[in-house]
Amino acid sequence: MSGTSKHRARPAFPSAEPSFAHVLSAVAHTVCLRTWDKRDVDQELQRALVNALSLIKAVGIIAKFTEEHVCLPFLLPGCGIEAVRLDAVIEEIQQQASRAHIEFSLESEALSVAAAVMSSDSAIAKTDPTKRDWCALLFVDVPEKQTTRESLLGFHSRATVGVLFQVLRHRARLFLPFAPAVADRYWRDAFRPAETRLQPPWLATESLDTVTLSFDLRKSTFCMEHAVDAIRFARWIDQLVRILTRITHIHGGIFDKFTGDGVIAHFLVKECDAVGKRSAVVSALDCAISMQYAVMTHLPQLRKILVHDSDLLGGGIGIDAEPAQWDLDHRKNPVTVGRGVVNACRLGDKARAGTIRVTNIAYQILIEDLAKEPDKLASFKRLPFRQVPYSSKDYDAAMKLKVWELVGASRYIGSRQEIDDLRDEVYRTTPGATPPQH
Amino acid sequence: MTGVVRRIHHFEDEPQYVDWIPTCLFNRYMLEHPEWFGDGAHCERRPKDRCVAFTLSELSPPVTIEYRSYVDRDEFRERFPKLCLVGDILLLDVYVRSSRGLRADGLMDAYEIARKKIGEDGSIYFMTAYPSILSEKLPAEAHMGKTFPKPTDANEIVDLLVKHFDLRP
Repeated sequence: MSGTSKHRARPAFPSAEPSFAHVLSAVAHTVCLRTWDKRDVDQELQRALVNALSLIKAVGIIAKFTEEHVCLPFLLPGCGIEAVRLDAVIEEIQQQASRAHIEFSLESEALSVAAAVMSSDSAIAKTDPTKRDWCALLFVDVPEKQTTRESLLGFHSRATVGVLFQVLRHRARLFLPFAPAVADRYWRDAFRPAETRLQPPWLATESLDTVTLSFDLRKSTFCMEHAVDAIRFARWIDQLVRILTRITHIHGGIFDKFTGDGVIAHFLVKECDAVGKRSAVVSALDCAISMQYAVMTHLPQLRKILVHDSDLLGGGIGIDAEPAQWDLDHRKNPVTVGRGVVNACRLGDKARAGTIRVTNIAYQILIEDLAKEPDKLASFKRLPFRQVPYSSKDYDAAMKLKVWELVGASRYIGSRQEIDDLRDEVYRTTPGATPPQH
Repeated sequence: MTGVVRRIHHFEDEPQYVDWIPTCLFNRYMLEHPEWFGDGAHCERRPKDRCVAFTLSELSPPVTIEYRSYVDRDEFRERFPKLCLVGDILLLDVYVRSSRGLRADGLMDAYEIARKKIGEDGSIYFMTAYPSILSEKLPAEAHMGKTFPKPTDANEIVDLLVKHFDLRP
């Protein structure tokens, strides 16, 4: 890295400078007086950011949301900052942010940076200073006179950065259900030509090919009734949801909702292909296996507080692949409507602990997709999937339906370490919980 | 380069607070239509002429957008009629700083000059921190829906300009 960086002495607050107040009020008017939970938020927000950055003569902004695993950079079009240079700047800001008090400025890669640490009081930031949120404004053309420059950067790091960060937070929250890599791609594609653009599913006018995974916690009511400490049970459930969310995102999925005793996640065919270069149904199956492993290794924490233990505890998972219609509800959560969602839930309901059930069509797509990668197909064929009878409230046993089932799915996990690490991170950052010793 | 010139005129006694307008417009077009610009596109600043300009060289014919500011009544009276073209847009500040403090006495004068040049097509807008004065000085139809209170929402101004120029490939 060629840039230099150093802490600067805090300059006097430039209260006598009317232009600072003027520009901040214009920025506030430009970004704060509207809602940022719209369907086409990325385009609208980027238009507003262009204006806000132009108002303060900055060329870019970067906001890091640690817990959400999101980094939102936005550069003025044509500003000439290439990706490698931006990555170097981000790395340097990241280092400073873990040491800084609140606001800081630095020079990096021929850019002047006005930045501030955000949410330093969050649980995750308290446990690990490298995991603080931060926001930074990038300037190319700053006054040469040092005191004037410091006054400018100091003002923006103490005022403007915070205003813009809170606006970007809305965007980060709206896309919380999505894998960060997918949400990042939506952000970067906002003004790409329509034919190459990846856009949020709720903007689609027709059904989208979707693979749905339904996870159901078996005997959850029994667990709740037999937990000697309701708070610890609630904390265990919360940790489970956080673990399953992260696993869904690792596999490029969308964490739709926590149902109280289960989870619904989706894998969009187009997104999995464009971002993860993987088949959606293969991603869903890998995700399901990882979930089964995570639950198996998380269950010992629950067993410590149960009056009666049981062999029936664990997760049952159902997977189906069918087109689904996507929308946003009034609280701006994704809504997915389709037969595949219903089928996955019904399969998940009937799957025993540790088991993954897949509809026949999802299984056939799986085989078809894996046929393109002979190595993966060979390892898949070693999974002992077998067809088992299935009935639901729509079709009773007389229909002799069959689904594909994988028993003891957790033992087929590829990389345990990744899941162990994320589970331990969830333990470390749970307020009030003592991290278990393995 | 031959082409079309479209102008934004701005009567504003403190132009340093609104010099973002042409930059915002330039960056909006760059964001949404980078293909309209040729290599090395930039905002050219000509302080002596109080002019900021950029060219959308890939449009056919090429279009140059000029932002012209006028800081006082005399300058506006002298330069605006010469520079104003059909299809231009005018942003008018209401109060102007003078030796006697903030005065709105240039408003009617400027408005009449502008009305004669631009016409009644609705392309005269007001940017002011004191919108109430407009009701005292002008008929409602002249300013209703055409006033941008300061501090300004930059999105509204840029949206207005984009809509006004209505550029297409």
